[in-house]
Amino acid sequence: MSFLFPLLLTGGLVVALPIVLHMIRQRTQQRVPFSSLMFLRPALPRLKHRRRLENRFLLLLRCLIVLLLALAFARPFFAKALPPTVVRVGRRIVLLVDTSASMRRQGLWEQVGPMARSVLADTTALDRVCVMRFDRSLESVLSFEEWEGLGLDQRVSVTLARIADLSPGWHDTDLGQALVGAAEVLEDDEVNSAQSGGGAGQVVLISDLQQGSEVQALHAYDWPARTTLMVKSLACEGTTNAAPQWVQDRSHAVDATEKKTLRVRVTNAAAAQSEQFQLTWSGSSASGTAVYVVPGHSTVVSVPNQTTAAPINQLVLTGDDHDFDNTLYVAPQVRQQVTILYLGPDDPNDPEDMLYYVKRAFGSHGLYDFQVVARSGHDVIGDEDINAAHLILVADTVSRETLGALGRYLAKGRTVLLALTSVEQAAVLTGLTGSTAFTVQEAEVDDYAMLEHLDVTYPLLRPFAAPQFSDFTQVHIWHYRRVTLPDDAGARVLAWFDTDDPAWFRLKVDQGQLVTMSCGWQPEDSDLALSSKFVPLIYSILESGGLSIGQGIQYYVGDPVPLASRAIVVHKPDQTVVTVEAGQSRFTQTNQPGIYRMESALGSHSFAVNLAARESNTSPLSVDTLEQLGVTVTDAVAEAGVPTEQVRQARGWAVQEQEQKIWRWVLLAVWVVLLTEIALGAWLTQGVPEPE
Amino acid sequence: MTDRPGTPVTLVDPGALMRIKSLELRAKVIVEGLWQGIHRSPYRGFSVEFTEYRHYTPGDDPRYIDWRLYARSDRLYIKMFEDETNLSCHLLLDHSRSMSYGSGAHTKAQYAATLGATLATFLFHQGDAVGLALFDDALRQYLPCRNRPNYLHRLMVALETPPEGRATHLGRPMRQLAQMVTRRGLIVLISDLLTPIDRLEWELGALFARGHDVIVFQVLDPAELAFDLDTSALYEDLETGRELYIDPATAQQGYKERLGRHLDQIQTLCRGLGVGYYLFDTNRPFDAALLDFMQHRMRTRRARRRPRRARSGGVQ
Repeated sequence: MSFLFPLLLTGGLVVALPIVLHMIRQRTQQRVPFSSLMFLRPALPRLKHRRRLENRFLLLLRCLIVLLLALAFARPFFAKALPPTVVRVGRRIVLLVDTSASMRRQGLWEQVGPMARSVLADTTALDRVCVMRFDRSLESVLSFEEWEGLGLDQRVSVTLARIADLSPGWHDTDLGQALVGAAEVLEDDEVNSAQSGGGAGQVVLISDLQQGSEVQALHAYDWPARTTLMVKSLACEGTTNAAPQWVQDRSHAVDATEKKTLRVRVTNAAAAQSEQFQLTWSGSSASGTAVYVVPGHSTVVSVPNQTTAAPINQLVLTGDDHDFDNTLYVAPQVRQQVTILYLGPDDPNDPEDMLYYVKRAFGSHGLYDFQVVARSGHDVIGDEDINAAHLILVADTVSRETLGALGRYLAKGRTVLLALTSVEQAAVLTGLTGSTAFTVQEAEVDDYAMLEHLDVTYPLLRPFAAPQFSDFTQVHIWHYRRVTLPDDAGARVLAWFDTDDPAWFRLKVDQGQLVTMSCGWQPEDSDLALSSKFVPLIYSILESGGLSIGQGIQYYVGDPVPLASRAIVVHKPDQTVVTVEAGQSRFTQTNQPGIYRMESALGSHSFAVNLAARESNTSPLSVDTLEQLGVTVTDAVAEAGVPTEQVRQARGWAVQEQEQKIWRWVLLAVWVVLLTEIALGAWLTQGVPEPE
Repeated sequence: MTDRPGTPVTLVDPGALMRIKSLELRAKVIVEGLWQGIHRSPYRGFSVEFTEYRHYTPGDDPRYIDWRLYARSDRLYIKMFEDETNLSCHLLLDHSRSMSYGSGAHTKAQYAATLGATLATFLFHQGDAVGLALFDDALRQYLPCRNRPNYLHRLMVALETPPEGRATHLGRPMRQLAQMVTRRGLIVLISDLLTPIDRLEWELGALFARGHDVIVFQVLDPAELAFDLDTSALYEDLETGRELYIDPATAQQGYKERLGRHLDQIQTLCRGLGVGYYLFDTNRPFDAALLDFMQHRMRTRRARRRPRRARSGGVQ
């Protein structure tokens, strides 16, 4: 039998302890009364040779426990002859290539190929190489398996060709995540591959190593001890780099189209040699704005707003050494007209009517020009009027013609909000859904009813998902209509009254949706309009119709753009067109800077995508920073590991011991002996006569 | 009368006496046995000093008639000895739990109670008043000096109560006794004295200064003296309950040294005060204790009578 940790067998020497304890144990248990201990001092027991060993079998069991524990810790196994396997001793290298936006600087990317060639030139037939590229994300270009699958004479050329196909993108740099990913790839390869005695893994980083790189991921990562990092830092001429960012005014109180100036922050790199720059609108004949920025600092300047008059949307900075981040795209801010069609007999100036609150909910907005058009439901309303509306609110009975127009409106995938202020409006419900199974009755309310069981998972009520917004107990309903929903109507109840009657429900009508409230929001029915929930609720219903309120006009490369769950078409700066199906909540292909135009049935919307600001921070990042984060940085090429026979043998034995797991049986034996000792000790204690 | 190491009296083994269950009877046996031994000696009376004469009255023991004086005066006179004067004797008995220790057939408490009972019986029959004070860290029971019928029985009942005290303090009981006892007399302290004795000299001295005659009988078990136990175990203090792991083989020498110093201190301070001090182990015959008691009394009276002898005017 062999042992994986033979030194732990010395723990068996502790077996002397139970022998000593056994000999003094019985004496220790005795208590002898004595008149006074004032002349006595405590003394340790002294073993005498003539003391006899009693209960020898019990002592033997105790010694056996100690010996078995020492045996278990020594991890015994039956050694078998190790197979004469060929141990690969080659190196494992992950070539990590930086393809972030900062690599677009002049002269940088051209160095990548030769640098990679120099790394690959040192590889041998036993080495394994993996190529990965990174910017904001990490992506494999050539895996270890692909490398091994190539012929020996093809490996370097194919790898270089793959690298040559790469090009720097526009994303910012997440260096930390890239290094973590590369290290994990090495670890996975060590576990999965047949190498059992190979050399250490190495990550070779080819990058400009800029200070704007994100390294947060390294803080929480325990860098593997056997993995080293070699940095092939790329340098370029010219250290002056400045970049403009738009300081967006997010206040919607002022009409954005009326702003005469734009505020722009200009940041200058710490290693810059120049401090004077110029901001000029591309395509504009007007003179530019001079900017003075101290190296390592930033300043905010106001430039004339040229975006509103003409399609001028590029603000270009000049005066630095690198132009990859010199263009600031500014999307024109266009105030969109939004029409709300209200069908009802209400007086817009009467606080007792619902229209009064609708007009105030859709008040002035910096980006939207809300128009609330009030018509009677019995007026003749043509399709033009209907189709121009972004949202239709029905608060009264309607004529047959209007009902037909509403049906056609819904067929286009639009949204209608039906507020049941009377039981007669059941005809609207029936007319739009085509189902006569709906019954609407005036409910008898005892004092008042409240809303409960709101379905905040539905997009329309998602703004109320947070606990601080989901409390509707302050909304009191004094009158409502009890609606009986047929099972085959496909209705989704969004909110219930505390009387178990449906309060709000949504019906799918053709391609559109009919959102129905069982009560109005005028003071006679409820105080919903007077609560803080009314405005976000009505805006949410408007957005569910496809209009995105508060749609942003500036994003950074790689940022997802929220969508209104409708089918849209996106025109990218490179003139490509992307179609997004309905149901998608985000557009993620913002992979280049420029002006994007988003078109849908409700109109078009433009937004700008620019480089992330920190990508412009091109000052060199010290390698010490990576070392401080626990990364083992080395200048030397990883040496091919040549395990000694001892190492190979030790690893082989470790595998054998792992397979046999004899220590488990030894521990089981410990348990059995321990239980026997306990039982025997208890039995002997019962039978021991009292000492005389 | 001169005291001389005369013919030894036959001493009874305490173990044999202890088989007598009744304390009163046991004491009586001891005293009567001692009387018989004394009366067999050629020396009349016992080792007490002659003090005076008194007229013979029918019923007196004719052995004490002074025939020479009769020849001179033609009148019968009985010799009176100092013991026949009114003596008040207080037995101050240690009643702490340390006294309940015993390595043999009887404990120190039983030995001390027997000793006290013997002295009480002896003195009672001499016509002396005997009182009893039981103490541990304070006086727990006090019976004043009396010589009345059946009072001896009361003393025996009190002596038979087992010791319960959780501590021993010598000073406080002695102070209490000194405050209660106003008349000069004899105070016999029976204790194992296994307690700090830093105040003992002061308290004994105070009693002695009040005119009391003090005798100290220190009673110890042979195991306490020799510490020849052979059991390594947890030794528990009977008074405090404290436990110590003791290996007697390793602790014996140190124990005996410390005990020896303690005993020497007691002996030195008693000698310095003129207090009688006798060390007894519980195997020593009670008769010997009684003899020691009588010898002490004799010496004490001799020491006190020297000034009086100078004033004596002869025999009445």
